[in-house]
Amino acid sequence: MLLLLLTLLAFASVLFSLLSGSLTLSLHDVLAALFADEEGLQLQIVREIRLPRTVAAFLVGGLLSLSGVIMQILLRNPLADPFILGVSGGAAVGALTAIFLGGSVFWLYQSAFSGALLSILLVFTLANAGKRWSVTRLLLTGVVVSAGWGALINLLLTTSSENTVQSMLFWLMGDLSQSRASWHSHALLLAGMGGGLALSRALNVLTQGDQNAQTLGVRVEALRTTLYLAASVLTASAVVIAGSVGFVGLIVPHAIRILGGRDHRYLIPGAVLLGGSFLVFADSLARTILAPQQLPVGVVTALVGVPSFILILRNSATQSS
Amino acid sequence: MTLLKTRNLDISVAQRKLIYQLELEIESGTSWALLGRNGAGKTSLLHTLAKLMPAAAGEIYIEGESLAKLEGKPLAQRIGLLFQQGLPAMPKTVYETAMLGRYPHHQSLWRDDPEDMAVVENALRDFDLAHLSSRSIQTLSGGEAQRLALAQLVAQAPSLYLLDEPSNHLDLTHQLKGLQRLKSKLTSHRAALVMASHDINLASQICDHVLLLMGDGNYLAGPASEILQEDHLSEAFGCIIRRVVSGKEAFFFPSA
Repeated sequence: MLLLLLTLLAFASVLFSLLSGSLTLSLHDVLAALFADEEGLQLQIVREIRLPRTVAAFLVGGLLSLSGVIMQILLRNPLADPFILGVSGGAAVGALTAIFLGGSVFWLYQSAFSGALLSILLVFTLANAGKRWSVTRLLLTGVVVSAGWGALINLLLTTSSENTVQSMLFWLMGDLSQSRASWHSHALLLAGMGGGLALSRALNVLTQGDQNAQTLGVRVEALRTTLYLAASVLTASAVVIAGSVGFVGLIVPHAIRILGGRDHRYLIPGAVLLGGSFLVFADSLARTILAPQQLPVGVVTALVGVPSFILILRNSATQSS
Repeated sequence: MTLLKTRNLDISVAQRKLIYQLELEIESGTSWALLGRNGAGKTSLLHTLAKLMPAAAGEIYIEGESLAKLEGKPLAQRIGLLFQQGLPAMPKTVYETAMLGRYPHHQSLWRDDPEDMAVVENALRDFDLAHLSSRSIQTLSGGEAQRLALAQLVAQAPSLYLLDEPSNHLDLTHQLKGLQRLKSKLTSHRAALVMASHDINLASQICDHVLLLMGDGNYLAGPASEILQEDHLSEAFGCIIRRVVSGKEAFFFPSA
């Protein structure tokens, strides 16, 4: 039932996004652009400008929410989000370096992805070195590496010229205006969701703690490594498309849990659908509220997300008491 | 049939040898009490048998297979453990929590089989929890939570039940009734039970065999009537323990 409603919400968000923009289009135009074999300026706007951006927004929202679900269970911490272990910091340093050096969009993507990969490997190696693995150790390593990236980001910002700082800030706040999702990210989201569903029973058991899960037949160590790498790669591919769009990966998993999807069999697809729809709505607002000026979508996710999350939290509190 | 067998098993914690050269054979259908003072190695032995910690030396065989070769679901189908500290309080319902016990048996990734549901419902009924099945486990009392942990273990249906202080938080009725319900499953499932406890009387009411850890690496193992003697118990616990007979039952208590 929940999943059905969320699927409807996803379709609604995509239609809303395709309808909104500086050029007013009718529902008929949009549907014609999607399904009819016609040509024309309006159809071109939908097909070549609005649709790719909408798809990118949905993908990024889905990737970040899925990664958030995984991080929260891996770190056993409700405050965990996709960026907590430094993946976005590494990507940001890569991206800003590319902007600093004046590289093309292609190089920005490559550089951001390499930075993210470097960060993933660095944290994983340091957290696993020597002593036995623990959640605290992974969390501390991630937070410290993040802080290191933060220092490098500030260094790049302070030494860059005014023009480049503007585009750096947009990237850091999360921005979809340049975004085009490649087929890799589609495949990753699908693979992540499929893998997540296949592991969802094990994830349910893991919420009982490592030792409990182990005696119930979960191979905890292998599962943890899988979760860390999966969450990191999902985050990296989202960050490469749209920068560090905050807030989605933190609150969407909680929203689904509060709406009744604590079981990972529902939480995983639910978070992907809600995260995708949420970011599509947020991006539609980001490009229309102050048109022709475009806002970074990260600003909108926080501005819209904070009050709606507080509302959900309040409702759930009154229901359960 | 021999369910569990240990050969020359040594258990050490922080370089201190707690159990030395343990030779144990547990037949299916039997129930063992694991007795000994604080720090004698009861929990360490249970965790070693559940493969949560490595043995210092020696081998363990379960149903003829080496424990070293078992992992994951096949291991969980054979050995289940009730933890001393019970289950963590998560935002889950009683029913969902008991269903987690079926993890090593699930056939489908998505659907809960009718068989799984029947097993879980029976387990909840066995421990008087059926009326609470949709309650959040964060609202349970200590005793109810402990019964839920037992119900989850029964739903797991392992061949060897390892119980670490199962009577924690339980009222007197549930101590005896709950453990007897669990024991009644042993013969029909060709299973066995090992329970660590500080309650010698409960142990003697439930268990037919005793493994008494002396705390210095030595141990005594055998039928309850042989091991539960005043001199053995007094030596193991380091205080004088008296045996008093009332009707057909014997009771033990420390004497000043």
